[in-house]
Amino acid sequence: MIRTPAGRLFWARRLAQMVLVVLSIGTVNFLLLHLAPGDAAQVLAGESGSASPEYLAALRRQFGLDRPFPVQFGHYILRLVTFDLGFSHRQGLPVATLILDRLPATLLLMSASIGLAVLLGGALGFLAARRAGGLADALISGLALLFYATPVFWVGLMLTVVFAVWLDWFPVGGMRAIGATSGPGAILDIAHHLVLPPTTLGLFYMATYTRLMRASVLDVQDRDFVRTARAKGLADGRIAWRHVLRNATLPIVTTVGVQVGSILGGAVLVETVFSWPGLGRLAFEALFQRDLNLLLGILFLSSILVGVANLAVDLAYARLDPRIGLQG
Amino acid sequence: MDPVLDVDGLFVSFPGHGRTLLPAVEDLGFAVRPGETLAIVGESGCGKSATALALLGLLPRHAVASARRLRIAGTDLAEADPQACREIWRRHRGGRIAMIFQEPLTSLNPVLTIGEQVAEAVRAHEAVSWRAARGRAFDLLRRVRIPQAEQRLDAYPHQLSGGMRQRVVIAMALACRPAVLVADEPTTALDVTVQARVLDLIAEIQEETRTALVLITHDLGVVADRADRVLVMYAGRAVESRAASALFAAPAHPYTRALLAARPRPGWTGARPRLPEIPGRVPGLGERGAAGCPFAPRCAAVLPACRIGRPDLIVLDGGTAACLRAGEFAAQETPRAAFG
Repeated sequence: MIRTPAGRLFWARRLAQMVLVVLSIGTVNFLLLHLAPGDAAQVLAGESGSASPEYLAALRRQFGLDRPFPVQFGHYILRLVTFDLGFSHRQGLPVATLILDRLPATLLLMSASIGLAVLLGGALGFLAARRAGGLADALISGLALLFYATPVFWVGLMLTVVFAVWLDWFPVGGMRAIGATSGPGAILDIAHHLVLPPTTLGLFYMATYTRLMRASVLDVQDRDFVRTARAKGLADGRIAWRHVLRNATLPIVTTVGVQVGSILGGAVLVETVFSWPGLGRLAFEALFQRDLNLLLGILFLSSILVGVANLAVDLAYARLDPRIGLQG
Repeated sequence: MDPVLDVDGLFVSFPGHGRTLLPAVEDLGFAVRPGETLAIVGESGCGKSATALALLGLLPRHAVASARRLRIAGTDLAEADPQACREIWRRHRGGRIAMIFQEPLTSLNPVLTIGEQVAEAVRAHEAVSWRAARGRAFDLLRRVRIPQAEQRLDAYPHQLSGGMRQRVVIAMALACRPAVLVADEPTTALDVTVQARVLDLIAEIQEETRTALVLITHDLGVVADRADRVLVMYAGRAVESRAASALFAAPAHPYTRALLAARPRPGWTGARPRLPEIPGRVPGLGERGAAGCPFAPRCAAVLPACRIGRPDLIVLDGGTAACLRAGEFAAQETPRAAFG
């Protein structure tokens, strides 16, 4: 795929597209945040209690907030291109340091959620389609509809109440127990913390993929090539795995690519509910503190994350479906 | 020689509204000997494809099929329900009876290589390794004259032309040397220039392997060229079943005569006079079961008696026909006797 000249051209074009998209998103982010009233200087001055106009002006000068808008914007874009995310005056640390500190937690939460949603949703949807019209189908479809309709924050709260408070099976929040050691014990500790948050975030998407997979399998099952496979005398298992599932997975992959962005958005909520030390909570705090640099940095990184995820989906798609890949 | 495919009293129905069953194929019987070609002809909706699918136990789950006798390569499957006796039918499909489908693009899996799709047909019936099956697939692709067979093994269906894809489908059907080959309009979706070549290939293979061929088509030119026997179906029933030579010399059923008259002949350029057409249409599944001959409403030679009872099969030169006037028509030498 990548080895052929056409393949190389395709991926080069996709990469250029991604850079362009990320830069455009950066621009929009910058404009949006400048349209919102208030800046970091106001918040800082308000908190210190001495909000004299002189103090404010001094703060603004210090942060470069007093310069004309085009200059600020030019600086911002220049810094984006060089991956210099600036300094968070609120936290007193470089933005890059803050983000890199939180990134692993969010990536862990997201991949666990997506993994759960895709694997479980795919399996349930497949099962429902194979037993279409039966009891298992009715049960699975009913559950999927229920999870699909339930708000994520409510699921989070209820899971906490039942499994963390009443049953005390899992911790209420956080990613590690206080005073946890490193080594294998730490991995188990994180895994223990990593049950409720991805379940909360993943249930909605699991429901989506269950419904999608069910519809997709039912569609593929009636295609001519499945009849051909049966006419060849293949065993039912091989037809289901090799012929039906392989084709039915394609829409799921597409949808995951589209939804990575919204899963990242959902992570903000879940991280807040479970005090998960990830990017989402950092963004939440930055927003309330008018920490413009930090917020822009997080948004910039998010757009890169989504862009990379989409690129990965394209790559996966080209591997799964030989008809796709080289057409730009 | 004993027939390798022997069908008698085949019924296929589909559920209608409520609990009713609508008959799609009624009391159909035919037999094909090794190396022989039986053509099943008729308009769309006559039950040709339902018959073909019933032979392989591939009817949709909700369809109801039964037969007094369904003997394929020595095994009678009339008592084996495709849902209940899955393993019997699985071994039978592709092993003893194989099918070539109408649409070669959609009948191949788009995401699997040609090689895998042919090799899995071999492995479905023989305990051989993937490596050996791939070798067999290579031989089969060469057998159906696919150029550069070695490279084609790793190609995907969309990389081949329509004619090549149909050759792949044929290769899959031949994988385990079936005794009976069912071809459901195998050339309808192909370019005219490719059609003859694909049919020639099937005929050549048939000659070599003595496979019995059930050729479903509405192309009467193909039938005249290649069939030994012809079964004309109308509204789910056999209306005429005769040796091809006898049928083309003197078609006995008005429906057969009308089909033949509606066929463009060499030299016809599409200019006027228009081809004669059969007025009306095939009655739908829910519109059957009225007394009398089902073709009576469209028949040019209808008699009052035709509307009273279903005509019995009359034995004629080379077969049977279900028409009160069959004897009269079969005795006439038609003005268009020179078909093919």
